[in-house]
Amino acid sequence: MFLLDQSGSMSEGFGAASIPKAQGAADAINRLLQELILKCTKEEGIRDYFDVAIIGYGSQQGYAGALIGQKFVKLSWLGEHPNKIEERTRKESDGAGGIVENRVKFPIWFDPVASGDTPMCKALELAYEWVSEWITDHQDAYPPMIFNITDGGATDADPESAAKKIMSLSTSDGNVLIYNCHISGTKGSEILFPKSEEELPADELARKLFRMSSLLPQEVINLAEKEIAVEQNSRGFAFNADLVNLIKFLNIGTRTPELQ
Amino acid sequence: MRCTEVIPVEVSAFSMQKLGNKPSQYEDSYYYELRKRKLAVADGASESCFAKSWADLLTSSFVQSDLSLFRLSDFEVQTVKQAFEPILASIREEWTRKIDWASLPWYIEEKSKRGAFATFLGVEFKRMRRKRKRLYKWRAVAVGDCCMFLLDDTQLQGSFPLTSSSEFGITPCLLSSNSNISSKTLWSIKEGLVKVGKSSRLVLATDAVAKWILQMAESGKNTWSNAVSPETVSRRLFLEELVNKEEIRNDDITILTLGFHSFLRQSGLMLSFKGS
Repeated sequence: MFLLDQSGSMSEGFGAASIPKAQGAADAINRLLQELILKCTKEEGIRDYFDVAIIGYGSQQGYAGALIGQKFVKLSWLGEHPNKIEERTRKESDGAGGIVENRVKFPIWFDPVASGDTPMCKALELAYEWVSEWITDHQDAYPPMIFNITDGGATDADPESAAKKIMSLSTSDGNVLIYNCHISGTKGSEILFPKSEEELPADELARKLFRMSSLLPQEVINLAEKEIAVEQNSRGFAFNADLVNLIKFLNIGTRTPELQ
Repeated sequence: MRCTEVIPVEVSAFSMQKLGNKPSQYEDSYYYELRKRKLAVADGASESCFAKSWADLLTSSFVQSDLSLFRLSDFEVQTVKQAFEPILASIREEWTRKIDWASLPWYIEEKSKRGAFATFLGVEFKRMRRKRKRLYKWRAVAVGDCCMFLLDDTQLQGSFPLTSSSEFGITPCLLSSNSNISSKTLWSIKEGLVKVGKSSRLVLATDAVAKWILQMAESGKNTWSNAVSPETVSRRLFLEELVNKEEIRNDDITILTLGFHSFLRQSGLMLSFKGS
């Protein structure tokens, strides 16, 4: 499940970049969806290893609701229904120490939106309701993962307790996982999978989102630790950084190396 | 009539797809030609597109090519790797050519651009000469966790390239159809001798069953011999039961067994094969 902050504060710039937070958030969700779809793609099509729900909050006063017209959709449906497909260039290794620019297709499901307030608690309550229903029908499934992409400034209440309530839900395979992608205006280095609040800048919103983030599951740590800095207490939290790694480290079969 | 000792070489091939999958979803590959004295298995990586096609190209090209592991200037990793380069370059082109890129939806196109991946194990063998005629020499090359086992009188004498069940994981080294990511590939090589005998065998297996064989051997159980023996009746049922009991990971399974028998006969070398 993806929660996308579309509030008015997302029109501000983030980190050291000059682009608006809303653009960063749209890039983040589009990349996460693309990576999830590619992970499950075989030559015959997309295998529906995941159901996907997307909740937007903001965009208009007090709004939190489905961004794709229905609660959960099959991953294959999402793959077949991007709003548009752009062509972009990507720099890649040529395998001999050089760099080449290759043209790649980049699907867009969501354009940047920045309007209204930030009813994050309302979005989390909706997430709780939908995830509870889903678990009733999928009690032995891998526990649902919730990716919340936000600048962190909830306007309706303190979202921490709502997040903890969601994390108390579980399937037979473990508790629901919440991962937060913080698109922050606070200057500072990108931080990925921190293990303590002290690693973060003095930004109360960042620290709150850290506390709202689940510990990375052991199987993710086992896979990720060979490639990136993660430890036992690392949390699924990114500060002005990319959470796409969390998709890469989902275990659905023999992993393949990435293009550099 | 003059009788001479002859040594037939026999191959038995066994394959089954992951339980619950269709036969068309089987992504392992095996290939052998006894006249070339070469065998190979490969395991297409589940997280890549057109992996079966890539695995097939790897096994068939190694066996059919003129490359002989015995005719290299030396049997060192770098030499073997260099010898494979022209084969890999050729099959990368072939793999790309086989795909109808224009007809692909964006997700299959993008995934395929990242390349197909497979583990690989190739073996070549030859009979020793003169007084050592009761020995076969073998050379093997591997990338990833397809394994070869050496059996002598039903005892497991060794394995290659992995020697312990704890070495298996879900991130094996892989050969890629995308040359941009092949530089990190780790190659392993090994050579040895196998004695001619009723139960002398080389067994090539893909990872799931290979791991189980090592686990059984490590715990002193010899039930593994039922999986590698062509004589086992209903080998499929035997393996399916192990998968259902979660003793073997549910995955495609491929086993090639190369036997070196010995008996008296009128004429020379006999080559035969069995498939299942």
